Amino acid sequence: KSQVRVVTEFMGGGFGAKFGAGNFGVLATHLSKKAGAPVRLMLDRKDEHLSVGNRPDSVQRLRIGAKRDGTLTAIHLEAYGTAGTGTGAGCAGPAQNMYACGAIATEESDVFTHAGPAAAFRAPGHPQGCFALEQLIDELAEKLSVDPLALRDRIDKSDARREERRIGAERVGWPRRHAPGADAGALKRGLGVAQAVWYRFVDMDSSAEVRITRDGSVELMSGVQDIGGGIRTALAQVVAEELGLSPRDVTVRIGDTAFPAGPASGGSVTTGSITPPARNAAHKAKRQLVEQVAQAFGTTPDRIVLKGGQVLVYDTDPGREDGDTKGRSYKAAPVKILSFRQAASKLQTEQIAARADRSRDYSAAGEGAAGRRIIYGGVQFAEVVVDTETGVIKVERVVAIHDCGRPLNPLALESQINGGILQGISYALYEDRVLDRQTGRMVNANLEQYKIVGSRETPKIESVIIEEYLGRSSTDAGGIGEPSTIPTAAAVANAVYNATGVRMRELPMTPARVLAALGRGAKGGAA
Amino acid sequence: MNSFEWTEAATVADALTQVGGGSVVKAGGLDLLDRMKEGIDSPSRLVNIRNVRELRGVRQESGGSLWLGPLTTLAELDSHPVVRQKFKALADAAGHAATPQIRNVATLGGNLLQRPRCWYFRSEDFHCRKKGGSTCFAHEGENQYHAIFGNEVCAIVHPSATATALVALEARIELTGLKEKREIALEDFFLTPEEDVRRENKLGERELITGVRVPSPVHPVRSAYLKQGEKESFDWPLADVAVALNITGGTCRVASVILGGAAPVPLRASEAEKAVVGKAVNEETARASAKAAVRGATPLTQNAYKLPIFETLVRRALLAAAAGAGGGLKK
Repeated sequence: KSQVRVVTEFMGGGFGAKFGAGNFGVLATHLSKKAGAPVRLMLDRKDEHLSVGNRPDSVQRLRIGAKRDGTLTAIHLEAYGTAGTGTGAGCAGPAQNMYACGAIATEESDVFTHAGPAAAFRAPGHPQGCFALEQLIDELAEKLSVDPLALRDRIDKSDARREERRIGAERVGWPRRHAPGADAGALKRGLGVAQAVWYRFVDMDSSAEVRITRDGSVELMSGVQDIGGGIRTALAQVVAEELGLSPRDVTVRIGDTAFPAGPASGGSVTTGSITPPARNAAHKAKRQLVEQVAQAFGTTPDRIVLKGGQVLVYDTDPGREDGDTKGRSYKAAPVKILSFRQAASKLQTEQIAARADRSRDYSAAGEGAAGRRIIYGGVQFAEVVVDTETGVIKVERVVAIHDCGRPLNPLALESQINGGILQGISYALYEDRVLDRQTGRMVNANLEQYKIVGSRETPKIESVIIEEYLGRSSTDAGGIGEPSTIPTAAAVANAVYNATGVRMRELPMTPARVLAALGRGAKGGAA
Repeated sequence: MNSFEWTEAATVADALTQVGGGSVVKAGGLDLLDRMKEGIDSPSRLVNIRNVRELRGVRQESGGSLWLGPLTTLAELDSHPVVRQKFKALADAAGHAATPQIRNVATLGGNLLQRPRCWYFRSEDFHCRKKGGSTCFAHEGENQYHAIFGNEVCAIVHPSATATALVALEARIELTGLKEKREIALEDFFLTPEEDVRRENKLGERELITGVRVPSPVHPVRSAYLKQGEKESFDWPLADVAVALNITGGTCRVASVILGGAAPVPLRASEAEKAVVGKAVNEETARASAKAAVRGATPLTQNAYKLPIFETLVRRALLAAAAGAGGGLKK
């Protein structure tokens, strides 16, 4: 590996497809070695559809048993899916992990087909599993004559989701939800809810180096890559905060294996894995800087404060800006105020550097020991309008409440949530790999006929991020990439039920399927 | 893509001497380049006609009809005040096709001549009837977007939204060859698969469209165009409908109801037309007309869902047209 260098300055979207080199990547490498020449590999849209792997499909039979008070007694999932000639079509995550239930049995089978491989796609198995589970929970609520949110309050042990349901219900106006199919006229509106479960994974191969140079420049280096979540910015923020600078003062260099090894972007691990080493490396570098500045001014390191792009030198205990344990805030005046650059010019060598690796998460009380998995939640509410004469569903609004530990960059998080929701709606309404049933060939391997959400299908999206400080790492950041797309299709389907009184059990929810569910498939319009 | 030559044409006559035998004209080039990239067409020479001035313009003629140059872009049709005012169905058909970027370049002539979107036709992997083979793969295959009428030989749907609207408006098309010029009803310009499965229209190999003429009858025509795709952004219609009505004294005297996305050619729904002629156009008659529009359909295994959609669009389009200024597609 020391003879191989990988450079990925900008990854572009991946969602799982770029998680590995792939057969084609490995072939390109072999060709290059054999030919002794550079090889350019570019997959066009058709190649991507046919060769790289797709999100597996899913056929599920799900049963839930409950007591009259809503307590779940049993969950039984039988699922089939195809990942080509490999495995990976499982979808039992939600059934196993979302709700408290005494007896859970899941049986997942991979069906081998020669219709192209599968690849991990943004929360593998979870949008599929949620589509079934969250609709069945809604069906159960109806059977028990209980509000779907109230039922979830009873059976969901997640504090985060409880709070998310509360906030979302208020934001979306849940009380105005009517009985299923209640609207008169052809256009019927509905509100639906669904929730997500995802897991805290940490990639221990997450290291960072921070360099401070005598001219005041600061660099962060790591092999992590930006897949669109904005990790570059988050890293700049974390390092800048530690050094009392603004993010634009930090040069972030990522996407190169010449730098300390960084995590691959998958499983929503990136931010939570690499920002702690970045902070720790920045902290170590700061200590070196402060040590040398203190020496230069004949004071001690505890009398140097880095703040607002400046380095403040005190000759006495400076106190704390936010007040110390005795409530004392900065009382002393600094004897010297330097710009960061001036302070750096005091370095004894041209450059100081510090490296940090990812240390294990600090355990919160009860975790691990009690066997509790550390999860992220996420609750989404969808408001839809269904034109029952044409079968067309329009998602007008999505209210999404998510948690991801300590949110580092709210705007970037909002962006991730927007993207997850848009993909979730595409999954719900449009995406379909159409294979000619006689030959198995994909007939829509292009962006014209493989349909995804466009500007006119984009709903109003409101997102709220709740902050859950669990003290797990030095930044306490979690992940959002996958949770943001898990519940969307299920929320839309539950909203469609509320609008029309019909349950959609197949994705995508095309006009053809909606009309069929309404009993209007082949015949004329109104009854 | 194979290599090809590129030449310019300054006039219609100039272009006509260059086309034929592997040389084709290029106007907006949108569908042409698609087909070349997909390996369906490999012309040896492209004759650029975008600068031929005779093919441009939108002009009111002395008889009251509107002459449209074939190089008029879809965006121009959408925004032209006379088209918007007097022929709303055409403005809406042009204005809701494709995307804004495409509409800025795509021409009326190209839109009428574009070849079908059928994914078997567009794929090099399937040698279908339209390409000289002996099978229509849609029949036993994936036919959710295909025709519900006239689909026995070939199940394509005609892809041109402007054709749907123009046929409803009784437009005529002017075709010019080296030796002669002819003008025929646009409705007669299109060919069914039974007539010739290899082509969709009667344009000769050495002919150009040199104009489209929309008549303007004494009593103003009230028209409407509705399109329903699976999505609104950048999608072909599952069904589209153009309606043109002549209503005087509250009674419909003449009605044109044309279905797009239903058949290999823009399809006149004669029974639907008969259901409103001589009557007021209201909820009841529109409903009856809509029912008649889909009578006799021969859906394939996966496209019967189009029937209720067409019924809905015909009903809504009739009511929108009858209402005059309001109704129809929103921008």
